Amino acid sequence: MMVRRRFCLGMAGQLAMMLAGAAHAAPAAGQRVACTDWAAAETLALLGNMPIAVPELQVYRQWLPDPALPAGTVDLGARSEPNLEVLSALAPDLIYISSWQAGMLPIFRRIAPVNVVKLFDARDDPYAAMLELLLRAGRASGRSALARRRLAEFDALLDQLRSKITAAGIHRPVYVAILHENGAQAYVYGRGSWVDTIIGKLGLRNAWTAPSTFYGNSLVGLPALASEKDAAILYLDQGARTQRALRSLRDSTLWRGLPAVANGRAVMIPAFFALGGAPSAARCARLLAAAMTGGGMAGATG
Amino acid sequence: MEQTTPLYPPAAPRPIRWEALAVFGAAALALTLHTLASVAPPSHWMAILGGRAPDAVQGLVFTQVALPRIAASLLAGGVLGMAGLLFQQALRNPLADPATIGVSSGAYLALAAASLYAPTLLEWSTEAVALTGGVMACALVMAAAHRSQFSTIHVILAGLVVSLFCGAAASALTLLNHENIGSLFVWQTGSLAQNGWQKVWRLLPQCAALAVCTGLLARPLSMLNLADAQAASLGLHVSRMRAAAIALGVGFSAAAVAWVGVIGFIGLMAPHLARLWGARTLAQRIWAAPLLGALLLWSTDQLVQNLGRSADAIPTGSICALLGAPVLLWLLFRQRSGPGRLPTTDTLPLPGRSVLLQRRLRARTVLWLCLLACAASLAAALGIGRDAHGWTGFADTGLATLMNWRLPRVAAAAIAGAMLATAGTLLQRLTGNPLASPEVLGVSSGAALGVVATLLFTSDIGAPGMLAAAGAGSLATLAAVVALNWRTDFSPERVLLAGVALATLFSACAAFLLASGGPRAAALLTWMSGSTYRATSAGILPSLGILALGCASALAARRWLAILPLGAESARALGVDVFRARLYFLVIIAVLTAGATLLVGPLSFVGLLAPHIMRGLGLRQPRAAMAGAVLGGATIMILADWAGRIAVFPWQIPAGLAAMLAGCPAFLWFLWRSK
Repeated sequence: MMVRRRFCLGMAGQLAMMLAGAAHAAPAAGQRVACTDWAAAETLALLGNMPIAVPELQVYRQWLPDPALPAGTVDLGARSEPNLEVLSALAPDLIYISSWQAGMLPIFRRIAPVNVVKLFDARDDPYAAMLELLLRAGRASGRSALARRRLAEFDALLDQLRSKITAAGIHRPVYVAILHENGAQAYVYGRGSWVDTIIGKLGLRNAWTAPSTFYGNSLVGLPALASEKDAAILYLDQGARTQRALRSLRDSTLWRGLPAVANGRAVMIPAFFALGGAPSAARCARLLAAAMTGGGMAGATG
Repeated sequence: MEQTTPLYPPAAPRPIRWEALAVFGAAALALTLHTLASVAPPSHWMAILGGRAPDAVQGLVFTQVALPRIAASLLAGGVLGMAGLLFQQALRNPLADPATIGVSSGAYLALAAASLYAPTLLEWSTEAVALTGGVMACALVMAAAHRSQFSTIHVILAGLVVSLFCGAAASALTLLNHENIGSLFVWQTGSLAQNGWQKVWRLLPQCAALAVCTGLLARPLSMLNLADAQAASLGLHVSRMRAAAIALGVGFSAAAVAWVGVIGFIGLMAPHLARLWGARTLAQRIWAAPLLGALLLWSTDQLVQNLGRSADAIPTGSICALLGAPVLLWLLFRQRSGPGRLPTTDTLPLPGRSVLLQRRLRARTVLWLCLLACAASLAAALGIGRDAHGWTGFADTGLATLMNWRLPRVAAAAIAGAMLATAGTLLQRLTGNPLASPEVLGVSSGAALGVVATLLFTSDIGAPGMLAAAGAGSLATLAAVVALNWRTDFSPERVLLAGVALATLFSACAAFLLASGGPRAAALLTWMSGSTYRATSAGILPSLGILALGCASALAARRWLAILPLGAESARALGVDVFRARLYFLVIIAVLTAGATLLVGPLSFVGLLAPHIMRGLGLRQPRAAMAGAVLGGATIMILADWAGRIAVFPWQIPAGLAAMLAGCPAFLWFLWRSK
């Protein structure tokens, strides 16, 4: 009895899922794509081809809010181990995975064709890779024209922000950082991250020029943020984590003595996802530009 | 306690070697001057200290980072040295320190949990949170070791298990709170980076108060050198005194963890260095140990800072562990009288009462019941699952899902469980010690270390790379274990304790890699936690082959298996070549453990649990015990994997982690029962 009821429920569920899938696929007129890579997910969403499933959905919505994913998006669980039973039950047409998941390529291939997203590689130019991802996702989902248009819009946005910053007479070098909650260190974005490229495209200069790790950031002691005296420090607001760091820094004679902090040029900005795709990069550019033109940043010789 | 080995081998009285201290101090000072010179040229120092720094930033770094860091390393080193001395004195255990008896990791787990679920507690008092965790971990260890009267090996094993449990619990927290991954490891890899003097000023009065208490207790503490009965006859309340000393030690350790994170081995080494240096009486060592601890941490930290530009990324705690693990090994092997008697439960090989069952069942009946349990767990793990809409049974699970996704995982879990259980059975019979397990042998740690080391230097290795790395790691470990034990006939105590040292070294390396963050660290973390996620149906047959080979070769020598638990002398008397027999089983154990590690990672406790349960059920003969262990180990791992898949759907808790969260308390319980 129980088994039969469960069986009927299961069938009904699958039917409902098929219908929902069909209804979903129709307006998008594209493939049903699942992403275990967040950068691919938001890039596809930018092209209107909403991914049907992403891992860690709640954190995704918090960190990559724009463009928002539809309410029916399926949560795949952890990014390190996307739930394969869920993924295969969805029967996607295509799966985008991150390059660090490439070891699991044969597993994903058994579910659907796989595109590997590689933003960070030996070429060390994630900015170009991020824009390529946009074009590639456009080709893969038959929306190349839209992808080129979005690319043009992205470039236009950078130009516009750049002229705004130049017009305000701001040439200050800038550190973009995440405060470590031990209150003595920070992750700084440098070469090998697209944050570094965007700082340049905004007509600014990244004050952090030392080599950085594979993902384009370095864990440094706070005094490293003082090596350029005129620089501004923009640190990401990562919620509770940043609050803990700030609590530790409140009494720190070192932090208060940093030239940027002492002169009010250390500014908290909303968080962006630095391993993301074009939408995250655009968000980063907007946030940096807003912080730099927000007052108190003028009057330095970069 | 009366029979335990003396704390130190009696040494001929020798004078305190001041010149050695001077050389050590001069080296540290030279390193420090070098560090400071790289901050600001020496010609500026006087101006900076006088508040007339020519360059404001330089002055800031000099006075607010470099100088407080020196003070921090001295203070933290002193605190750790004192904690180590207190633990070693109170427990009469030359291997005790805040890390080896689990206090540091308890404090760390409390801090990690508080930072996720009760951040206001941390705002109120970080030290109190750390103290709570440390006290709880310490209480667990002491409770488990109490009935053995705190024998060295009991305390160390209990401490290791509590540390592993706290690590596993913290890993589970991390896996479910992925975005906090970097921050959770803040306290795990002790970093001495400072951002001003405020923390030094905060810690100083706490330490001073604790030090005064210790000074007041110095006289009664020194009486703990005597046997308990003797000390009691001199009017000392021994257990109360011991508790007070341990409480002080925990207080010191918690302060250090809350402030700079887990820094291992300083507390272990400082009291020994003090002894080598010539401080013999407790009155001498009570100031010599903190002094040498301070010197030790200070010089290590200065060394780290001089390693190069990327030095900021290397936590001092990791370096201490890397330097300290060999020291631990050396301490183990220089002990003349061995690390004390091993714990023995209800004497192992004799057929007797069964612990878990009121009425003794026939071996055949027990095996049938085990088979039934295994089949039931298999059916449940394959049939019952979850999807986006709720629970599912066999009827509404597609055959493709079953064959493609569930069967490989269930098979991998079952085979790994069986391998570990077999290895555990062999190891326990080999050592005659029911607390031995392949995880403790260090081979699983070695395999994992191979993978971690590879990941440190490359970005992306596939499944074959992982396999090769793990195989190389376990082989190297096996070679090391063989080399270290060649001359002692693979005496069980040494094999076990070498495993403890390896496990410690491994966790230090892993913590270092995990602290570097990034998605790669998360992938490594899940593998290390024992995930069956990457299992494929193609992998089933080869691993089944290894299992069958291992079991067959073990059974081929089952006469040895029946004799070896009687002890080396009896075995020799019965005509067994003990050395060759031990080596033979050691190789089987290593192969089985390495195979299992590749499937479910280094940290499950199945190899301990399954043989124990089988003994509890009354299976004593080698063949029956092995068959039971295979079935029992498979059942446990299948259930762990199943629970991990459905508990937090669509997220997954790795099977090894799930098994460990159940296995560690069980281990402590066994330890508590043993005398």
